[in-house]
Amino acid sequence: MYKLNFNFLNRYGDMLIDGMKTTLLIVFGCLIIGFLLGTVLALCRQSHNKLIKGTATIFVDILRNTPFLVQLFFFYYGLPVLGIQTGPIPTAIIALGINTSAQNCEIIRSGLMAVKKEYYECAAALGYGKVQTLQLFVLPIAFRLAFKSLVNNFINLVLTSSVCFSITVVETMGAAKIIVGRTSRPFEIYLLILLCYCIFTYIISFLAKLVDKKIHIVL
Amino acid sequence: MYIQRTTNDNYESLIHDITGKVGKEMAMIEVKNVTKSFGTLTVLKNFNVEFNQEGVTVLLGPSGTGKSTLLRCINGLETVDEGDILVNGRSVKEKKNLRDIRLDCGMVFQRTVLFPHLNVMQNLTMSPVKLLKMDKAKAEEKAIYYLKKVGLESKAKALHNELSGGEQQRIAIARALMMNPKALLLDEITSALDPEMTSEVLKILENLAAEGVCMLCVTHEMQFAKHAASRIIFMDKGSMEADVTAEEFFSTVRKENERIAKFLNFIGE
Ligand SMILES: Nc1ncnc2c1ncn2[C@@H]1O[C@H](COP(=O)(O)OP(=O)(O)OP(=O)(O)O)[C@@H](O)[C@H]1O
Ligand SMILES: [Mg+2]
Repeated sequence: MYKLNFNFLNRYGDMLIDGMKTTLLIVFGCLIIGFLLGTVLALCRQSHNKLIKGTATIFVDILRNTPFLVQLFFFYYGLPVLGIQTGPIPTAIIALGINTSAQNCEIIRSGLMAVKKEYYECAAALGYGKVQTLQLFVLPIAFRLAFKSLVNNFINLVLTSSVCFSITVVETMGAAKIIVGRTSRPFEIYLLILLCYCIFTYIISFLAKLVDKKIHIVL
Repeated sequence: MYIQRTTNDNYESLIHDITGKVGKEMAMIEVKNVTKSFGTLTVLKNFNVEFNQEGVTVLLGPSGTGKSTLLRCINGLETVDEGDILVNGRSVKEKKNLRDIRLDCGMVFQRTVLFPHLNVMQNLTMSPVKLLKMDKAKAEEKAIYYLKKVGLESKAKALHNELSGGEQQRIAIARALMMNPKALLLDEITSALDPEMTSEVLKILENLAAEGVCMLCVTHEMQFAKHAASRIIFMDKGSMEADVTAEEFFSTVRKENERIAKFLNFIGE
């Protein structure tokens, strides 16, 4: 019978915690990029300007139809050839943030499409300009409609962030791998970080439910 | 030409605004030789009409004759192909005038939407606060005044899906009035409602009419037209068929004009 042994935590606990902090840094960085860029992309895809719409569509399609790991390697190992070089963590944030923005784009776009013509006309008839209509009515409505899916996407993002260890980022997974190498306790360590990811995503889901209760709307 | 809008200190004077006259020789809304087509379908043909800021004008006519299109052209939701429409001297053809035109003409639609992420109070106060830079507290005070007017002061916190269709229309009327429009453009605002709700809404309109709010309404409610309208315009196939006082319309005109007689018979009047 295998005996669990978590003694490695005494020595490597701090390393694991630092790894988790890095994970948090990456996911919140990506959350912001993913949300802002995702919104911009969604608006571009709704644009009447063919060039803007086409560019955004191609951009999103490429990102959605290629593996994230390959995107990550492209950013980290490919782009430096062109002289674009950033450290592992910034690269992870940028690559994963852009990847998330493509997923968010589609979700936000479906929210935007649910805002029917009547809302635009009603706002116009009240005297609002285009930008104000977007800012005060269309986007708030679209975000609320998209909220649940955006949260699912965020959870996906948290889980996917573990892939970033492969470009030498010492986030949770990276730290775990190093500790495994030094202690040969893979069962305990991977079990532990599985639980950590699980708890973290549970907390996010729980908070999201609370928020959703507040902002939920029906059209 | 540009009239600066200001927020007044108390709503008494704000109320006065909507009944006050424009104070110019010209008509408030001048529709001059307007032609409007959708593809090959010409909906308005060389249409001419003027509206002063007075009383209730009812637009009547069979379905598809361009009544909605006329109202939508007046506040710039549709562009006119030929001719021009001036609202307080401002042409709807100039994009920069649209905001002022829309502030002058409050519009309520058949299928109203209240903004779903805002409660009733927020639906009412947002526009004066954002567009007229009215103080929030003052806007709320004013909102309560209009909520009372439409009999819904108890619903200030409600969301749109907690209101009946008739209540939503009454809120939409209040929302339009919050902006001190010089006229209200109402497009069949009761036709999606059941009879009970219809009478609730019409009652509000009659009260507003009695207070002197200027309205331009498309409606099939003949009782309302008889009670509240001072002027009746009958449109058919994009042209003006009659433009008369309500008394004339329901006495002499309906006897003399075949098409009007037919229309009134058709809608059971
Ligand atoms: N956006 C549009 N595109 C194409 N055709 C339109 C459009 N809006 C209106 N029409 C057509 O223009 C004609 C006039 O429409 P309008 O809505 O002004 O009629 P109406 O007098 O308001 O009729 P109703 O009493 O049924 O509301 C109709 O035949 C309609 O199908
Ligand atoms: Mg109509």
